[in-house]
Amino acid sequence: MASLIPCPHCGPRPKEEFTVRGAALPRPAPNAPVAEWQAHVYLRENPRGDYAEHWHHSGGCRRWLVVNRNTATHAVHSVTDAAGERP
Amino acid sequence: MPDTVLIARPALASAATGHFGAPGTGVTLAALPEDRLWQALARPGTDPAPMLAYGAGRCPLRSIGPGQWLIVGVGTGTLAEAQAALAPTFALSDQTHGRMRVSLSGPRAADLLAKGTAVNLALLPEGGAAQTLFGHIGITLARTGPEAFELAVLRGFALSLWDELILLGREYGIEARA
Ligand SMILES: [Zn+2]
Repeated sequence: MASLIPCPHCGPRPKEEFTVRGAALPRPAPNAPVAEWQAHVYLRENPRGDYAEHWHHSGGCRRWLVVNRNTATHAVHSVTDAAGERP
Repeated sequence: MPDTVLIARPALASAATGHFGAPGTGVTLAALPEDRLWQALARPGTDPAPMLAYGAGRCPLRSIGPGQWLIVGVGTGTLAEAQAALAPTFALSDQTHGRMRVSLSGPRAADLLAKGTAVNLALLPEGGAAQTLFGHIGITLARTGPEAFELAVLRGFALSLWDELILLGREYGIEARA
């Protein structure tokens, strides 16, 4: 796993300072079919390659971040504040 | 049943003191007065300059995240006066009872800190601060001089942090004063 995460607020920090929530996925519509919600909540791809996840900088600025990283090479492509992703 | 009696007692009252480890003093560890430590919140991006006068010392205002600061040291006014003057832009709460401050100084202070935190100390300027982990303990690290730092820690972790700093400082020779 990528070990240095460039937090947009705190700078490079070790992964031990973070709590990983899981994949950052678009949320289904409130009235979407049950099957779609079931997939959103429980089913994950576990890809070998690029992956976007929500990480919480629990040992630093305590902000939710979106970490784009590669699960095979450990490269971190981008880290942004999750609040910026809101529509 | 008798009511519980709450007794005000310094968090580091039973802390180990004296000289530990190698001869000489590479690092000096000292408990700081529990005088003023406020937390401030505002919308991210707000200029914190209006709060500056309420703190004191080399690093009176410590950023701990977007829109979050610690105000440290006894500056002007009381908490109530500061709250009245800074509302509604800033929300202030007193955390003096909640966090302890210790100072760590000496020619090997940065070497000792590097054992516990991954913050790049070479890039932390005097007057700068960083919210980070020291081992598994959350701290607000501030640089107060070329070889001087301050660590603010939740009160319940103060004694653990104190003991850990002494243990990690033994190879440099460490003097601890509560
Ligand atoms: Zn951060």
